[in-house]
Amino acid sequence: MTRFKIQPLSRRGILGAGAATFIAPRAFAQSALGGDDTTAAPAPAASGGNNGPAISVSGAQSAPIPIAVAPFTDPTGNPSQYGGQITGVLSDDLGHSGLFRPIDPTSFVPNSVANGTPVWQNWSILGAQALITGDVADQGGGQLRVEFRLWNVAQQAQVQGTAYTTTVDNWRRIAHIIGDVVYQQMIGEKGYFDSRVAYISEAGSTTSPVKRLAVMDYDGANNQFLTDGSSMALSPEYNPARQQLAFVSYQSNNPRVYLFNLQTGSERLVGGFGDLSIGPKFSPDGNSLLMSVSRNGGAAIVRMSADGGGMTELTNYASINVSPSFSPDGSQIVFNSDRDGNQQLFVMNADGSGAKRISFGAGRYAEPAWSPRGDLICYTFWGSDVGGFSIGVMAPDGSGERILSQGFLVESASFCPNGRVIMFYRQTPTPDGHNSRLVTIGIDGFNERLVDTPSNASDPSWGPLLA
Amino acid sequence: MIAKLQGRGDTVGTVRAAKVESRDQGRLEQPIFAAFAQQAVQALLNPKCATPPLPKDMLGTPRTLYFEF
Repeated sequence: MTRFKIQPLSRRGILGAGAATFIAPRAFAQSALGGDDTTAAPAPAASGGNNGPAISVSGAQSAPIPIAVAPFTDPTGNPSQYGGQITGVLSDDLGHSGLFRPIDPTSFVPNSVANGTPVWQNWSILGAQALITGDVADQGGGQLRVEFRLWNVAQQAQVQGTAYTTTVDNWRRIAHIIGDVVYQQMIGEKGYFDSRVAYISEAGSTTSPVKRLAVMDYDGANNQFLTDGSSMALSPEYNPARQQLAFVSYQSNNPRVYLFNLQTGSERLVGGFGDLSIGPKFSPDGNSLLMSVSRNGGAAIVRMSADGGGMTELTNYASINVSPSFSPDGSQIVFNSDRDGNQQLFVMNADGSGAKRISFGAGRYAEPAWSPRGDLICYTFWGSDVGGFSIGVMAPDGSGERILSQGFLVESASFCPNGRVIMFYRQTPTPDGHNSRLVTIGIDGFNERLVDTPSNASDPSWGPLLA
Repeated sequence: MIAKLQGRGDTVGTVRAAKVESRDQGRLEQPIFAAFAQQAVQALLNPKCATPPLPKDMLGTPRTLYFEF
């Protein structure tokens, strides 16, 4: 529940309004911003304009925004095949984000959009805060025109209206793009729906698994295998700025980093030095590539051009230094190292200087990844007191450690483009071997969801926004 | 984050109209603040929350009310 408090601000305010400090009883109703207020924190001192008293509203918690997604029709208002499909993907995007609550369409009042304008009371009574309407026109020649409008129900006003023209087979992307536009309008930051994920698809027996490089839409649709499985593939990494992946392949019977051109399908060895090379990670501008190179029992983090030249060693080989990840401004790198005796997380400058340990828990830390927002680092943790593996997040200085998910084996966390959601993989033992699935979870630790893949999957790398 | 809002209350204190106060209008260029402020306006206009528990001496006449979320 939301707490209201009125504070007198000035002598004029006290004399004019006779206001006195007042705190609302707990019986006060839930606000659109608020959930149940379980805190007793006092409201901050408030200052109103024109020297009047101000009502301070504190203790509110956010709740999913109730949003109505009216079925997209054809331009004449009749049901449309692609309209229905776009509506479904759009509703799923918004609902699965955890930030929106799509209203059950079976509760919609019929004919609630008249001549393109909402019948406002029909949406208000459902509790909708926002409404999405749209239509899809088949323009022939394999072309679709998709038009959508976002409405503010309380203010009875249009917030956004945009039309897109695309090929028929691109209808899912349009749904994701519209979802991102709605997300940005309502939440204030860019969405993440129009994105792809690279991952490792696993099939076959436990003793002889076939591990292939694959890409898919973030929600599991449009899956595409990139390698044929003749050589084991691991650890894909999306280039944030180019149509390119880096990944580890056993083509030469030794793990080496390769580049994969998403436009041509060609592969090229770039990690052909040392005993082996693993853990590729691109810089935020996509021009540099980090990897870990093993030599003489140790492993160093090296940096090279994304085209494969100009290698610079950022650490030495005196210990095992692996899993580097750039900060979003490219000035720092987080990695894990056993230089202090066991696997812990360290942050260094992008030139390799100033390495500083940031993790100190009683366990082992691995596979750090820096959020695109810059505010969090996610990691894999194994601690004897926890049991099993965990996916956690911490601030870049190591403070605020939080566990998001635990399991028999959870690993390889990757942030979505806006840093609000993490994808990782969860492996569970089965009588025949194991089950390995991709999972998403919010950085608040809520809304864990399975991602549908054709077979077992691991090692997700969430790519950038496509649009 | 704090958003300053201004609302028009009727004789029983129910907020009938709300907007971001002029002092905060310039911040609406920031997308996250704009979304936060929009949600605050929505909250004020929500029938469940539109009638804050005002003191009796603030009731009886329509007045401008100021809020900080």
